[in-house]
Amino acid sequence: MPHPLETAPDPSGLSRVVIEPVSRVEGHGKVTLLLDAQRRVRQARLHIVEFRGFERFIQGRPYWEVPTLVQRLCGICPVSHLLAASKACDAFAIGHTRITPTAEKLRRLLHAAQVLQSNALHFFHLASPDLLFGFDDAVAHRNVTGVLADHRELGLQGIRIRKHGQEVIRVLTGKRVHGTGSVPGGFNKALSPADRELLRADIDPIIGWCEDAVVLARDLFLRHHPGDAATPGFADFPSMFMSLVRPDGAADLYDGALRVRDAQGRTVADQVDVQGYASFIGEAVKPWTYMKFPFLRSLGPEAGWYRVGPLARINNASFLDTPLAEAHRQAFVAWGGGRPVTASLAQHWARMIDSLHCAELIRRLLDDPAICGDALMATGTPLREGIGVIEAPRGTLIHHYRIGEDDLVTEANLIVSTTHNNTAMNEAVRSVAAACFDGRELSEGLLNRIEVAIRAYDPCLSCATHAVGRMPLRVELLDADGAVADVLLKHDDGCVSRPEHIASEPWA
Amino acid sequence: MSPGMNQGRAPRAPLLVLAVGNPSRGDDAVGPELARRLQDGLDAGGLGPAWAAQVELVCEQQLAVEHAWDLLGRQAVLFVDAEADADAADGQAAPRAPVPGVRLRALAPPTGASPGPRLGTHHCPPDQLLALCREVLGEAPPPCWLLSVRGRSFGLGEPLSADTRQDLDAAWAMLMDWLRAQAAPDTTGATPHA
Repeated sequence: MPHPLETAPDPSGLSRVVIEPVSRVEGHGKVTLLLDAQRRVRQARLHIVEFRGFERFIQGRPYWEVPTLVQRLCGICPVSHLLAASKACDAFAIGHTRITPTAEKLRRLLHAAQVLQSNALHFFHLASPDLLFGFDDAVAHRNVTGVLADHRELGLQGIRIRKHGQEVIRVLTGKRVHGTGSVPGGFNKALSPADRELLRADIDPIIGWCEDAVVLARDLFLRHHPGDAATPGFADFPSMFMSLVRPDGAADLYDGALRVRDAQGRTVADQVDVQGYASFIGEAVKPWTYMKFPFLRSLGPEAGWYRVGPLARINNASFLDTPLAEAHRQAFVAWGGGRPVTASLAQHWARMIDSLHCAELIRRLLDDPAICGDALMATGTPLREGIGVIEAPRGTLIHHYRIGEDDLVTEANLIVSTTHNNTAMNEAVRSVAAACFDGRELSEGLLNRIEVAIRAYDPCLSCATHAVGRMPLRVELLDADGAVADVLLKHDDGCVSRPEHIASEPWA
Repeated sequence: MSPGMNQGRAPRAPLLVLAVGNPSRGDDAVGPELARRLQDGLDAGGLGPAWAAQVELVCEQQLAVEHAWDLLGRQAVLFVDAEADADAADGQAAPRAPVPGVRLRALAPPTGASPGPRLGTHHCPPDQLLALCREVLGEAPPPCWLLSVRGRSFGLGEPLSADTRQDLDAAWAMLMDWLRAQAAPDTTGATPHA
């Protein structure tokens, strides 16, 4: 859906605010606000300024390396890439044959642990400072360290939840980050009874803390959204939602078919076979960003965009098949009054329901003695094309590969969650800019509101270039004639300064 | 012991080398590359048999808050990482003649009441972990150092740049010097070699 703020009729004579990069999201992003002479927002864009080249990175590699290789795309969600690639590359090892039941249980356990730890990182480390302390709190305090200082037990619970997820990953793969475990055709490491008991020993308090976190996330959301669901809230806009569901409509993080619902809750598409995703989803290109804009082909690029992620999963699910999470999903749905909840900050409430669901799944899987089975690899007739789709922490993740006769990857297409949410993030920026930036001066609090909206989606922008000395925040205000009127820098240590004006490229 | 934190108090090696970086992001691979050399040395016994029990090697793509627990109970910790702007970094120069862009410096928790705002999902500087040890976990952090190597390029799929690759030998020598300096009595006779 083209937004009136996206493309100003006449960019000349407008001024521009640039936020670069966005702090506390991965990699480098840039936000541009184009203001008119009356300092009203006329244009807003979230730019992705780095070309990632994922597909080129993978081409030419033997398929059995791919699940390990793609983990290097993201330091926060490596297991998601590992599993999506494993599912896709199953076709190259076993064709249409399903992996063994034990291998599927192990992959599901691995995936639940990954979503659990990533969601905990996102909520407790990234989002809770804004929600607990308010968007205008001092930057030196509005961070996870401030949470640990003021709400020590809460902060520690978040870290413990994350560590439990990482411990499951370490046991299953051999490492907390970038292990293996899942391989094309199955799983390469059995879970020992001793390790199963080790992991079971900690899961009950984790579930309790996850349930506490749902209540906290709900209360914090409602503090920032005091009206009912029909009352427009922060970065609140209508959209469609897409996620994986089982045949019975339950949410499924690891497998299933695609369901799309619109902002009124009407089903747009259901039980769409992921193997046919390419005829269901198109990807539009715009000249001002490297990131594509996915859309439903049946509706076209203008009307066919959608959101993915925890909010989509909870909005779309007919039910969750774990009891505690399902009870909280029903409360979420009740608050929405029967319609999908559209407020961006509700992502965090949904995310914690998602986490509780994962913790319950982990306990269920660990309670199953069959998960210690040793039939881990299947056999079958290999194919030359494979597609793997999962629900990663931030939403639907698609991996699609073709290989040649030499087993080397010839084609690769990845649609990551951040790409699915590209239009939605732009909508969030536009919504906040229109509501909060109109006619006001640059300030840390105002700029952070845009970042808060983006953080609800936690985009993975450049995947883990993190070297010491990076990540300053740069804000530029350009006059209508293109001259730099103001520059605001948020340094690596969180200090904000106004340096001498720096010349900027002309508006184009 | 807190539930879910059972890793935090397990018996652990007195020395921790915590290498950070993405091996597929150009010069960000400095940490993993030095970790590989160290792991090879530990596995092959080339560093001396006593070292395997003295040194734990952890290689991560990036640091996060929970790594504060990895510091507890250590005699000393060495972080190894690429540095995007080595010239601008504060710190103590290495005792040996430093190679430009290769630095070994002692770390200290940031001063002030708060450890500061630099923690997030994807970014956690080493000195912030020291502050978390002190202010949140209630324990004095062990002596920590940062061995950094200047990175020039961080593109996905890029190899190490030629200049940074040349710096690796100097960084490896500094890593070995650090291990010798921290060595417990039963390893002082060992002579680590590259």
